[in-house]
Amino acid sequence: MVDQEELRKRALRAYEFGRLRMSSRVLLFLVPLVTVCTLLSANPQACAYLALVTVGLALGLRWLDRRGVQAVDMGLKSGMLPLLVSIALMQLGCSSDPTLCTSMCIVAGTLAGAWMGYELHRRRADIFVWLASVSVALIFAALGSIDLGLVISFSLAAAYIVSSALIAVVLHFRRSTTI
Amino acid sequence: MDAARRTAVSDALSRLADGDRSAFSVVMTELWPVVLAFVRKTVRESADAEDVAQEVFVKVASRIADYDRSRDGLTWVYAIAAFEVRTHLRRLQRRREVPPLVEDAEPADPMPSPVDLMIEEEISRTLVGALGELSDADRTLLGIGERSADSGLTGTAIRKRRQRALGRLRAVWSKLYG
Repeated sequence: MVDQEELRKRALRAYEFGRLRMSSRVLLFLVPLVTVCTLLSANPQACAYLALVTVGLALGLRWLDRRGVQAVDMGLKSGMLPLLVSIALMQLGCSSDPTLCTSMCIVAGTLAGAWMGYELHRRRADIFVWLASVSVALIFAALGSIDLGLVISFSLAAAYIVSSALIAVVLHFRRSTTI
Repeated sequence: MDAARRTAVSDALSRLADGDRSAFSVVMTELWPVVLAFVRKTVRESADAEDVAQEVFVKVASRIADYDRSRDGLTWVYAIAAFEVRTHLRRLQRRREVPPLVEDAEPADPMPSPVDLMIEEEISRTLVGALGELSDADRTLLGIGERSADSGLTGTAIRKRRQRALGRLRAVWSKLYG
């Protein structure tokens, strides 16, 4: 006779391990990228801490449920543009010109945020997904912008949050008035 | 299984795949009897069937995160179950092919059993009967009966004749005992 309670425990354990295995697939993308960022950074220790937070957040959210998987996917995609722009600015030696750096980062943050707002609207995501994906995107982008200074990083984050919220709200109201 | 229950199982699997842990009890209640019944059809031994069904259930739980929601849930579970059953049967077959270890094997009895003695006696009796049907020359060639003095034959000729005598013995044996 099968012990149902024992089977239930075994199956639940296997289920959680299965989810962890599925969530760890993001490491294939994240680990090489954060390694390159850490190696290129002028402040590798801070960058390594941020990398750990990014990896932990991505793993945890993907393990949690489908909304977490969605949030990590969107967050990493939208954080890619600010990250690449920040790295490019550092590598091209533009860090000495704060105006150029700030404006470039604000543009990148606004564009990435607008895309995120559009995606949130399209997928009809809730506030949890918005918060989670914005957190992932900003921490991910900070891997590159941390070398440009805190002011530029915060400007980028503010531009990102404002544009994503604005686009999401505008599209939401447009849909409600159309219906 | 009717269509409504099938849909309910698929829905529960989808919810579990999405990370909704509350769907686990539904999956357990609906799926366990189905899995057990499927495995019992192919694995006759009851204890083995239960073990395999448990393995199937744990595999389903472990792979549910990769479940494709566009597919029918029950078909997906049956595919896993069929694979597990095949693996179990293959393992059983392999176990049967492997000879037992020397220390596990029963030691050979130096004295033949009464049954062995009876079989041996029976074979000797039938062999004597078959040899009785052969000519004296054939019996001599096969090393039974009195040997005649030097016949003047070469080794090759003796071998050939012995071969023919054996062929005749075989024919007599099949005629007498089938």
